[in-house]
Amino acid sequence: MSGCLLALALLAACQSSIDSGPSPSAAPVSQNGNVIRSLRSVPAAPALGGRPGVEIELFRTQGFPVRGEIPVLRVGGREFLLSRYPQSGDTRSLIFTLGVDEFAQLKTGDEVTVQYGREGSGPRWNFGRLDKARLDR
Amino acid sequence: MRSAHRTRATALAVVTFLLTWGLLSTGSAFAAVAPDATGVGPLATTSAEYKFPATLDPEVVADLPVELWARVYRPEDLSGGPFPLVIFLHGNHATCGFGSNPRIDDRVDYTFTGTCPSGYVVTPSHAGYGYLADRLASWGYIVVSINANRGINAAPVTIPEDRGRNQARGRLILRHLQRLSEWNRLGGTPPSLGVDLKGKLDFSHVGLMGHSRGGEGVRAAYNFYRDAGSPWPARIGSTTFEGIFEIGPVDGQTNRQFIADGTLWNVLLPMCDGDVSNLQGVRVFDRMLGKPDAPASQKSTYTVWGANHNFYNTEWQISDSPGCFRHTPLWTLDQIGSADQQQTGLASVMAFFRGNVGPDADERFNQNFNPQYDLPDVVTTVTRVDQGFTDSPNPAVTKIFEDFDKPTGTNTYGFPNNASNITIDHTTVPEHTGPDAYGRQSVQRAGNMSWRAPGEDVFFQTNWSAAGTGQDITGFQTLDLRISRQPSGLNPPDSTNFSIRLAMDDGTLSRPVQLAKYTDLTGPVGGPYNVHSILQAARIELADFAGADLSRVRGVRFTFDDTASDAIFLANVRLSTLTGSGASLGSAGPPSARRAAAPAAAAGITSIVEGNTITSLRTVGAAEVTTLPNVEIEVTSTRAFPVQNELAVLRIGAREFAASRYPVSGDTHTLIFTLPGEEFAQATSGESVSVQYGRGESNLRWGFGALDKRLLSS
Repeated sequence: MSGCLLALALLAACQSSIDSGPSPSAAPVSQNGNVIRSLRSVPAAPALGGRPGVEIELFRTQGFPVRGEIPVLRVGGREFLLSRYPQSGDTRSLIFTLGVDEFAQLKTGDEVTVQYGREGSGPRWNFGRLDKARLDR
Repeated sequence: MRSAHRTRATALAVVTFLLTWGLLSTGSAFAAVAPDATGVGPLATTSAEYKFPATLDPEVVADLPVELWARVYRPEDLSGGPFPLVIFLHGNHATCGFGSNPRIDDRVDYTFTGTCPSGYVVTPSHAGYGYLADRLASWGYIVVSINANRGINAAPVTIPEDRGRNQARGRLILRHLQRLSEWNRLGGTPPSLGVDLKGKLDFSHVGLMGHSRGGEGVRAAYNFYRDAGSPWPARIGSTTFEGIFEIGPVDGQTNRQFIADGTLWNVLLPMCDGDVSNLQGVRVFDRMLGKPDAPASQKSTYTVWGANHNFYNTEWQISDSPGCFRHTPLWTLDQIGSADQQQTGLASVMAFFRGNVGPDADERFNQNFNPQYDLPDVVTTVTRVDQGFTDSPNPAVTKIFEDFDKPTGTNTYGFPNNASNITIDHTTVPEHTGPDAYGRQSVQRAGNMSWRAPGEDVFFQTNWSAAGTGQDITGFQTLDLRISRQPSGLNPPDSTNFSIRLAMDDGTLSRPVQLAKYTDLTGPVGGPYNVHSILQAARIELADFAGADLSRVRGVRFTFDDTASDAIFLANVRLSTLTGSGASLGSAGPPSARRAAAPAAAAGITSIVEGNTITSLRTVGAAEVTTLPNVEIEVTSTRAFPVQNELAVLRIGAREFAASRYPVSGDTHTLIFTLPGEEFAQATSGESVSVQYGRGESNLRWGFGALDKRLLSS
């Protein structure tokens, strides 16, 4: 709950008629409180029709709000849209599912971010860099 | 010059005064004001809920249980009726929340389990439109606001063909309609509603409203119902969807792209949306401009300055948006929700449904969506709204003059355009153009024009025929165009104005009209993350082009002779056979409110009896155990059935049927009516068959002789 209250406070601080410069403020990129919690192999991912896959679980202190736009994971230049909240119902975690082949194409050191919608016109949250060696550790 | 929001009421009062004393001609630059639809109706209202245990319903969604849960708003006294039916569906949102003022919705347990943890309550997203539903009920509507928490909201984005679960949302709506239809036909209304709905719901007058993902959801429901071979007509019975209203919808979160052809449609776009922040709902409008639309039906966009995404739902109590760009938000964070923003929702939703849904719909309320009219004080005292509009993309109603879909310098029809002292290229419009969740690219074409000094020799002229030739446009009423300002250092501080003329085949020009008379082109403003160059419409009556010979028009010239400099997008220059849409036929609307496409009213009844044939009677769709299959009756006439806003009605004896369509061939000499099997069963051979427009007595009828049920084939 404290994360949500912090989000409220941040929102209050920046809510205004934005009227400076030739364009709206660039969407913020944040990393504080954002963690790649785990990378794990799944032998039969429901999101992939039962095929094997890799799940990347992200944690964000302020939560991933449930919105109209779809969350999009970006790793390097690639986008992944298959996601779910955990069965626990906690929206601070979001789990993305990638095909084994898709994960194989990613590189350690790729930047990991989450945005809403493919155009990414809103905020983008940074989760640091991918470390493929963490798979199943 | 058309004035912007807050000044309009004052301006109108002055003009009324001047007109009263004969000081202005009726050719004044000021438009009539659309009527305010927000008043409380004469009926006392009440509401109650039905909620059934969750079940796994693979026809809605296969991986999680869903439940049928809704709040029903209705007139307290249902002794009259049946009543027109409106379905509401909210969007994607967390399903559990804690606290109050505001409640913070940050868990999704209910999605999976149907319960929320200790200290949390179930988020009642469906109750957040009570301010709209209750007001509609006071005017005789029954409104069913659906809750989609279980199995849909916040559920995994894992269904390949339905990432946003918006097809599931559409099927959930249809499942509700099925239950409502059963209660209406057979009885069995849940006791929790405290009333028997049998015979109280009028499925020939149904409207849909969806917010956010609910927007794509209502579009999905409409399309699934109409699909060839759809099982839903047999389950629900004959249903006429008379209009769809969307608020901040998503678009393209399923593998199928939905539109709303064949029904009236409006999208409300919150200018400061921080969720669907690229205002992608406008792309539905853009897409429909290139699609058939039968029966021809008005489409519009309604972009509300200062509005965010969440506060159209009073249960979504925290703003999604940190602010607006270059204009003032309608909310502050020390408030929960925004009464001002809700007022814009009330004004538009009430106008839409009261204008289009129900036997007593007063289509003058449609003036709220037609930029030929100013908006009422209830809107303009709160904020500004930019409108986009077409009478219909149906080619019998509108004709393309220039869509900027050919290379720069060339008109849509392949003829060379002219440009002088401007820069121009044919390009795409940001916001209107972009990828959806499946990577499909929406494309809205436009002329990207700019000028740095005004003058008579600073112009763009689009030509739809070769030099020395022209086309006869006397059958049209208005020249429509879409326009917006680009974010540019060339933008002037005030509104943009320039001259528009028609060009004849011999190179002569009509007298100019001024853009500022038809729209207030300013901005661009934007939301928290984007500048929005959302195209707004200007509609110019062809009669305003003094000196034009409409029988030989070659081009339209835009002369940038007033505003010092600017950079704009100009798109979709089209001609319309209609003008003043929103004023009822024969009503005391403004002088311009007339309809070229409507059949001329004759004194007494005119019956067309020659050249009419009942081509076929056939059963369609698979019947369920409790229902008979629907019957299609196809009729043809040598005198075409014109495309008009009034519904075509088939009469068999005293019974009337309004569910119809033209054949996919597009031939308007044929109409196909769909009748519920039970109702066809009650008709008898020998009863007279006729077609007219509108219910009840009509001045014009096509007679088809007597019904012969032996012609029925499956």
